[in-house]
Amino acid sequence: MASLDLFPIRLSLVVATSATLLALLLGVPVAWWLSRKRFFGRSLLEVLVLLPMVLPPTVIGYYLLLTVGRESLLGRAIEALFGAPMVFTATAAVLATFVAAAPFLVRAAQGGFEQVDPVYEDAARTLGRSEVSVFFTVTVPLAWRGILAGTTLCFARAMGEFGATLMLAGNIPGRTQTASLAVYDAVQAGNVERALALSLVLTAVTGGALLLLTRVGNTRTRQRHGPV
Amino acid sequence: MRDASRTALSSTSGDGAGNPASTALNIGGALSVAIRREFPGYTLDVSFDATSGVTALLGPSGAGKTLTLRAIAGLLRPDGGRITLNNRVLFDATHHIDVPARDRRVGFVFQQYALFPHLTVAENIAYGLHGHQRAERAARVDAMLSLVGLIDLAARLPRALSGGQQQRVALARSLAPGPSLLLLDEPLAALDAPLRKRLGAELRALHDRTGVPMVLVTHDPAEATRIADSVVYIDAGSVRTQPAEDAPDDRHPSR
Repeated sequence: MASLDLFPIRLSLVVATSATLLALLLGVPVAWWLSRKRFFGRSLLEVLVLLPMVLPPTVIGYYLLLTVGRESLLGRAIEALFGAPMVFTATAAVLATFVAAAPFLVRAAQGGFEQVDPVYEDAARTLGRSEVSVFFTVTVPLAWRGILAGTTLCFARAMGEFGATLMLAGNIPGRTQTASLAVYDAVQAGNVERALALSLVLTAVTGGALLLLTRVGNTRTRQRHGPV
Repeated sequence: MRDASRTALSSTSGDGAGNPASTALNIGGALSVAIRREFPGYTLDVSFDATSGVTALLGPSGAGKTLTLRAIAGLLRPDGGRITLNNRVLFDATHHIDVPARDRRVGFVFQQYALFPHLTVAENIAYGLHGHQRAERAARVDAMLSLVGLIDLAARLPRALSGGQQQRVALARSLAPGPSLLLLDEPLAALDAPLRKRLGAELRALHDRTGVPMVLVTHDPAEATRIADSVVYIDAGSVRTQPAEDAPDDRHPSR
């Protein structure tokens, strides 16, 4: 077997990890918000958050192009600020992957938060803890299975991202070509060995993530933290 | 009407607690509650004063007893009214004062205890002592554990405890930060009958030892008179001067 060009694998890992961290940072608070608060427009927000799960990834990518592409207001602002457009960069790949994968995290984390009886948070408040302290010492420890499941799903989905990334970041070897895009190129070029090798690596990484997920799921059925 | 209800409260209190019942008539003495909150199809409109002893809020389920406790603790915001504790204003709608639950120094024992399932007994009790030095905290946890007789169970998780043990941990946890008032929501309801009697007596003894004023919610009149110095009847969201069944038109005037 010819020596495998590892760049697409490395890029996929970097992009998927970055997108997952971004999803944790932004998605966990949104998930908590959706699980605890009743406010005007809540259903609309919930639909908006979940829509990328069901939209064709090409549509997600197209919307993102309209939002941050070179012709858009935001895109022009970015270009003026950083001296270069965002589209067709690894950063664009992270953004596209984030939008496509984050809903999986929000969904599962929201489920995790909903399993936590608010009485524990009330108890923590009467014991003198601030809202931030309550969140990190009570809410998150009791919802961690949902958050971990969501993080895993998000990462697995991010590793396999194809359509949105292709639309926004392109398929530039050595710059924005992730593993899933490289598989497509390899098949098109008739390079069976390379297609197979990349596919096996992708399968192993995402399969490993899902294995972790099933193990988390199994412990949940053994012991659950919820209303007494 | 209003004065009559206060006198009624006072007349049953005073013995055993070590504090004269007359403090109930002093403005700002111990706890003073006068709150209103509208819900769809239901209005909570409750006012009463409590001495430094044990006060029972007695009434049928759905009467608003738990909502009243939650309002005192700062877990439910009334639409109007005023709550003061030892001359400290906890809530005052007209002056836009609403001290958050964390700053009220009001302990709460929840009906199902709400012990943190991911923390050990000792960690549960230490949870409210986050502002203390490490050594001081450990000493306080030990003191609380021996107060409720659970020193051997410090390292257990709540799910490994019996109902009665869980209740004692909940008491220890809420008393650990040294609250000015302890609220107990149906503290004995989750226990079976023989245990209920014993833990009721223990609760009374705990009050006499710590001196922390208590307000407890119950729907059992016998339990209320057995444990409490004074009883406040609540029905359909309002305080009544008589037990609900023989008081058809005896509503407490609003606020």
